Amino acid sequence: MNNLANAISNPIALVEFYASWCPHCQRMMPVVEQVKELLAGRVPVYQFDIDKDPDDANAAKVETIPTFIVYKDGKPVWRNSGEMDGEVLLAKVESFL
Amino acid sequence: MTLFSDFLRELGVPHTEAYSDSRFAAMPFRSLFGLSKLLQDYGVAAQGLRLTSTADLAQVPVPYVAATPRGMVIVTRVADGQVDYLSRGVAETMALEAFEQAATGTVLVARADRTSREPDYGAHRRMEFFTKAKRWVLWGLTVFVLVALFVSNGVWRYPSLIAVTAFDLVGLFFCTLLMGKTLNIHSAAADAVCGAVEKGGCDDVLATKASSFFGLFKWSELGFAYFGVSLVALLAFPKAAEWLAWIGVCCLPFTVWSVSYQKFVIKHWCTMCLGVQTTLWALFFSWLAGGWLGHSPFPLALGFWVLTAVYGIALLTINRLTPYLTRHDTADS
Repeated sequence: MNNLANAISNPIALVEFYASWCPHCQRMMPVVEQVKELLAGRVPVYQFDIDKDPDDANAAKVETIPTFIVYKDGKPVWRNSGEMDGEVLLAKVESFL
Repeated sequence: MTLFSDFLRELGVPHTEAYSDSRFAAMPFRSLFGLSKLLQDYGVAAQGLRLTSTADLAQVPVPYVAATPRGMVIVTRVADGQVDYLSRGVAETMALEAFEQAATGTVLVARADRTSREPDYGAHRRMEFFTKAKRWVLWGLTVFVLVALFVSNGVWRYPSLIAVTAFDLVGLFFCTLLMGKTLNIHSAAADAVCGAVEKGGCDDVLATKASSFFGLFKWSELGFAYFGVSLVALLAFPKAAEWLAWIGVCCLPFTVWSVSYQKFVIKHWCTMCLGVQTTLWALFFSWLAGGWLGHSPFPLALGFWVLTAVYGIALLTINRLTPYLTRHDTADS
């Protein structure tokens, strides 16, 4: 079972695709860390490096980074690419709970 | 200065305002949680508490950050039934009972130790020093040029022009404070001046539609451009004194309108506005006493129109630049 498959096996999960060389992704790192903390116990958060997990990135049809996808019952129900506010990201994920 | 810088100062954590304020502005979550994460980067242990009763607020060791429906405040002292706190950098006091009703009961308690400090504090401190030095050099050079013009162009030989120079500076001072108020930039000096005649009067007057000229320019911008150009024109081109005097006369109807509007329409007094209006009359009497209004300005020479154009350029430039100034003060919470 690969990483993405493991992630979407949860009833709900937030997945981020990023790259270590991407400045937008670097700026989102502390945001995602805090979102992860605030969602702890409710929604698992997975981060995939597209250079290390290219197959997962292709499977998720990731074209730009960072890309955030919320999977619910194994299906993508929301996605957004680019930097975003922590409050907005958190609210979006919580709206699917 | 932001709530974060204020809190670091209360905790005694070495920090620089510019860096701390930028970190606060970039905080992913503008909440006590976000603040606690930020404090961790400064080596400050922070913990959020949800009090079972707001009556427990008096038991929490100060300083701490308390959430209220109107935003976060820093509680600095709880004693004798009173709460001292900082709200947007302003020290305020409230009865403990009233504060307990206003607070949500969620607080952030933080404790600093000797190792707590801003990341790369030394480098940031040096940068802060050079940034402040740049500001002082700018002021120093400006004062030098103005004094040099004042002396070299012989303005000092005429008591009336010395008075005009002084009143232009006073007008600039009032208009600077007014512009700050208009742009919601907090200033202790502006608050002190505004409270002289009527507390909150400046805010009441500046909040009206009449605080701008046909909705295009704030009167404070007009005043700043007027006093600034008048001062520089007088010092650089003293021969323009007669034109400046007559232009000053043209400003007087505005003072009558403004005072009447404050008294009969708004029914509140803006101390700084009154300061500007008094300054305009003081300028008029200075011009009058010096005999600068003794000759008709007509026919108007090209130089007069050039001077008028410079007022316009200054006003439009200030009007274009002020939106950028407001961006520096939006990070406060």
